[in-house]
Amino acid sequence: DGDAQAGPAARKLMSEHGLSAGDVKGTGRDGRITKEDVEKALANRQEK
Amino acid sequence: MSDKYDVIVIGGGPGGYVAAIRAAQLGYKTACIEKRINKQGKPALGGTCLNVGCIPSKALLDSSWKYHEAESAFADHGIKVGKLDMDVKAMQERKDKVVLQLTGGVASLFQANKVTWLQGSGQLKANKQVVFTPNEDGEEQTLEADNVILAAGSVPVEIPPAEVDQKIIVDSTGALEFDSVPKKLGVIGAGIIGLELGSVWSRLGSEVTVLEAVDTFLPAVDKQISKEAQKLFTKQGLDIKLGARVTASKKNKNSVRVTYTDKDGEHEETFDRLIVAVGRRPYTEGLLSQDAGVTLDERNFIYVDNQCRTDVPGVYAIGDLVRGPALAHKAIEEGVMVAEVIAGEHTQVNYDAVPGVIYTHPEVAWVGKTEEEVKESGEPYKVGAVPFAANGRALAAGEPAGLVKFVVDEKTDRVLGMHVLGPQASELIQQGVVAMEFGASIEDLQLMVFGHPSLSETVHEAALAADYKAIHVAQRRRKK
Repeated sequence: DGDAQAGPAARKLMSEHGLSAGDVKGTGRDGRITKEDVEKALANRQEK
Repeated sequence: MSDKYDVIVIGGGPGGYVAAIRAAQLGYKTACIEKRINKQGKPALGGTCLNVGCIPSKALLDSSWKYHEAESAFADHGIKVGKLDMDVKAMQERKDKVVLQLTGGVASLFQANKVTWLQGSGQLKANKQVVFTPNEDGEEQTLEADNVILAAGSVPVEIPPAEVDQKIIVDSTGALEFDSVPKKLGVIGAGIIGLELGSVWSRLGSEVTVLEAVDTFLPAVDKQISKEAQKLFTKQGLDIKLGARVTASKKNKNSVRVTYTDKDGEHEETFDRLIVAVGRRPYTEGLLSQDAGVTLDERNFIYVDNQCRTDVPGVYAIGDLVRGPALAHKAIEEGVMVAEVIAGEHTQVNYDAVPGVIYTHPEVAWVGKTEEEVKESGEPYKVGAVPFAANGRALAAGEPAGLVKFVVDEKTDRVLGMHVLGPQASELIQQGVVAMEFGASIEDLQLMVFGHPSLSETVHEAALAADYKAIHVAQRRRKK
């Protein structure tokens, strides 16, 4: 359950955009995904 | 006349009133149907929790604890109180005031958020129609809604051998209304409700016997914690009899003779009052018409998915009506989730991190998995447990009993569960909830700064203890 490697806000944001933990590079401790990481991943996706 | 709403909530308890407020915040035209009439004879919001559950029981637990402390613990601090007096009526009046303040508060919040409170009962029909029957004269009305949230709650389970009359044999509601202290009190059920109510009256002088049919004390709680808790509660005066099955009761004018069987055979005991606290069941009476289309499961819970959708699109069910622990905060978060799901958001409730609390003194609180559950899974794990007796703040407060315990995944270092018996356990457990929500490793908790002196330091020490790094307790490595 990789999603638990992210906090509640990051999990919700990923779910809203159909992302899973594998789609986002986590920058938190031990690769944990922060809300910022999800936002960055979404911004990158839009640029492409 | 047919009124149309975006959202109709049936039930104004923690699940329902929160769902209604959140739906209104999100811009929906919302009505909440609630039929409860309080003991003052007025319509009241807040459901079981505010009127006859969480809040009144905590009010009495706090009052009775203060009395108990004055009676038995003040002398330790060099405080002499002379002859102590007790006014149960005044205690009850204070409790009633707290309840009125809070239930009135919910009504004000409804006004502020423009939630329509319909005072009466509601029944779901086909096509998301709701029949509303007002409490007072006034005609039955059929309302239409885009979304219906069922939040009708639960009621105490009744058992044939001890029929409740709310005088001699009472349920939790009646047990919150005694106007004097029963000399001998029997409690059927050693769950959260039974232990809390038993504690209240025991502190005020009742001789309390708790009869529990199951052989294990608090089977859902981590065993190390429940064992310690059972010892403490017994020392406090609760005579807890496990494996004791009540088979009959015979009422006299002012007492009840209870027959129960345990491994030693049949016994009889006479009590002045008897509390039946064996559990709660979903309250579905009158809630659903034949053609409502909503499915119940085999235990009579309304069947829902993990976002509380029933089998009927646009109809949701939350709280004690559905699977999961019957806890106010579980209902509350489901209420928020459903309102946000209606608004197209992706909110979820993390059912793996719902804390449980028993408001005895010391309190018992837990979140996540017990050691027994993890052991059973076969995954390697480690535990860290330290007593409050090693905590300066706890000693200063005269509260050395209990412990904090972590259960941790050996491979990933992830916190799997936290268990507390001790002072402020209800507050301390929230640190475990936050840790688990963020997928914290036990090392994360080890590396944080905890204020000194504070009870929270025991949380820190327990985290350290998982890796034999606790400073304030001597640890010996456990042989694997």
